[in-house]
Amino acid sequence: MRVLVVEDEAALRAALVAALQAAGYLVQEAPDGEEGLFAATEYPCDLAVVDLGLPRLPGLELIRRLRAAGKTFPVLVLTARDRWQDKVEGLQAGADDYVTKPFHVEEVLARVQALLRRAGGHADPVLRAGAVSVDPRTQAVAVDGAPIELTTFEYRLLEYLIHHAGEVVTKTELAERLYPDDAERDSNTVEVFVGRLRRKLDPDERWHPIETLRGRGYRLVTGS
Amino acid sequence: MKSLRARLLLALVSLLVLAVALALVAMDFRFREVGREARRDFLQALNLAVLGVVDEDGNGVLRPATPLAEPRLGTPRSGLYLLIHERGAAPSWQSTSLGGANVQLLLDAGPGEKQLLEVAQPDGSSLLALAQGVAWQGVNGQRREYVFVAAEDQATYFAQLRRLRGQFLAGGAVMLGLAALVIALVVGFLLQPLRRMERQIAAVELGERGALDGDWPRELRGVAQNLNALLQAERERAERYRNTLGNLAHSLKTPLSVLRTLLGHSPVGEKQGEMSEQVDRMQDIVQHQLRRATTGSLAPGVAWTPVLPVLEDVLGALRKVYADRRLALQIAGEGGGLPDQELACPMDRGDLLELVGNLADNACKFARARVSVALTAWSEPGWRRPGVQLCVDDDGPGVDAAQRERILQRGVRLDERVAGQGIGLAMVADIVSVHGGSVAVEASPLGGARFVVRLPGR
Repeated sequence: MRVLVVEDEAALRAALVAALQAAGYLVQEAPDGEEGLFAATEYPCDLAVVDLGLPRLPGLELIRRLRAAGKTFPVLVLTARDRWQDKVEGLQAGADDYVTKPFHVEEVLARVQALLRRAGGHADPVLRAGAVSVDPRTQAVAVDGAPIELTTFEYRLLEYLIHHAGEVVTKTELAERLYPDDAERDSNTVEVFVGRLRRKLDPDERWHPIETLRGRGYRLVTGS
Repeated sequence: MKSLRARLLLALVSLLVLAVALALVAMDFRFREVGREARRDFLQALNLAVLGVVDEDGNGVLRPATPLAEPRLGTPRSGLYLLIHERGAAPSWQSTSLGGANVQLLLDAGPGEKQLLEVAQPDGSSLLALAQGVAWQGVNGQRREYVFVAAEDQATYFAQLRRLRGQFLAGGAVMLGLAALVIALVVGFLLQPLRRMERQIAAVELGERGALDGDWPRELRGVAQNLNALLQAERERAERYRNTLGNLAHSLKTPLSVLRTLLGHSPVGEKQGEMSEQVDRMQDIVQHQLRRATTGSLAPGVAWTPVLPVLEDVLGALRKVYADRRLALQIAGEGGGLPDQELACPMDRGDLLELVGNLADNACKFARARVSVALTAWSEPGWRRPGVQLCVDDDGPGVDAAQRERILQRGVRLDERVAGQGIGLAMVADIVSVHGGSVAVEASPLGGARFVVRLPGR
């Protein structure tokens, strides 16, 4: 999953990026509102963490512009202003949740995971599709309850697929979730990683959890 | 004397009463003087008329030779009398009117002398008498001194005086009444701008207007301008206070966040727990002071904020925040219907949002499935505008009777499992007390807690 962090305080941004990367997300960062807007409109994004007190373009305005541009991904607001007036304004501008400063990074992480889960239509913190289950909090993956070890790339693929379980996901989308930059992207690499993921989830080729739709992409099956 | 109007009225009316009383006394005095002169002239004329017709008779007694024209002299006890006597002797002649009248009129006056006297009579009446001394040389050349006395009963005059005084007093009273009425009108007219100012100031206090406006008389223009400048300055000062304190507190928050993050990433040491605790305390202090600084209006003339839109905004925000819990959040009014849109309270929107936000958020945290916010009017005698009552109900575990007092104190969090700084309810208590309201915790009919907040009107 791609997460955009827009925060002007460098130390705080670094801590957030580190924590989000450790949780398996592909993180993009921006130090001000203008760059945040650019990143969110020019690159794919599954969730944005936006500080309200941003230089150049205030956080509220950034969120309004994103929503006006038709971006529907969840937005988590970070704010030093903890008055309800500011919370209501932020939520009305199009944010989905808020965390007030000073915060624990774990709190931000929990909110990010909850928002992503909600956006994918999952009620349970543990994401499930067929026999596969993923717990974003611990990055634990299991098939029929038996834990499986995945590499970072494999995990990123699976998390995106399970958030969009039952939907068709293109190779490009998956490539964007593996690498931050265009230059590294190669659809062959995606095929290789999907192949590795299939072998780990279904070593005996009994239930074929990931379907290939020729020319269109992949789909994670929801039934068992 | 608390009222300018009363002072003015009292002063003007006393002045008026004094003036009318003096005028009446002067008129009375003048009337009596004129009356006396007129009667003296009449008596004198009578004496002279008699002197014109007297002659000595055969016995050498002076008496009118022809009857006198005045008919009252011929009528017994008519009140008009004449007599002539030689000095020191009994009357030589007296008018018919004196016949049978018990009248003492032997007055003395030297020749050429005139004496006007009030003569009290044995029967209690009073006569005004003019005695005039006349030296007479008869045909035999003998000089004799006579006294002519003309007298008139004063009863008629006194009756006239009484009647006139009555008329004077009645006229004076009517005049006084009319003048007082006019004065009252004039005073009212004069004080009209002051009353207008009073009304406008009251409106500023109520928050219905921000400044005094309109055209003021020269004497009040300065006051109005100064008052407006003061209001403006006070408002700006309060705003500056809020901003400065808010900025100060907010600017501390980011460094606190950084500190906390650094603590979280540094290797575990013996000091770490302690430092983390201190960071928590600093955060708590910042939040508490920020809340106190920005709560409540410091400036006069706060506008009234309609409550219903604030409820809708807060519940809209909470629906988003608690989307995955699928809570039923409802707003109710009197008798379960929709709340009155006119209901408002005299605090700024920020404070009201803070109050409602914390209460509703608290209810959502503990609710199983339902949260209800009821908004109703609260009226007390003497208020021009009603206050409001907010009832926030949830179907959560509720609050033990023993804990209900404590829960509204600062930093108390009864359920550690639910996220929150634990100062939300304390903030509610702060805001409510700043605005002179009350907050209480009860058991809810929904099964959980009920928070009842009352905010006074004015």
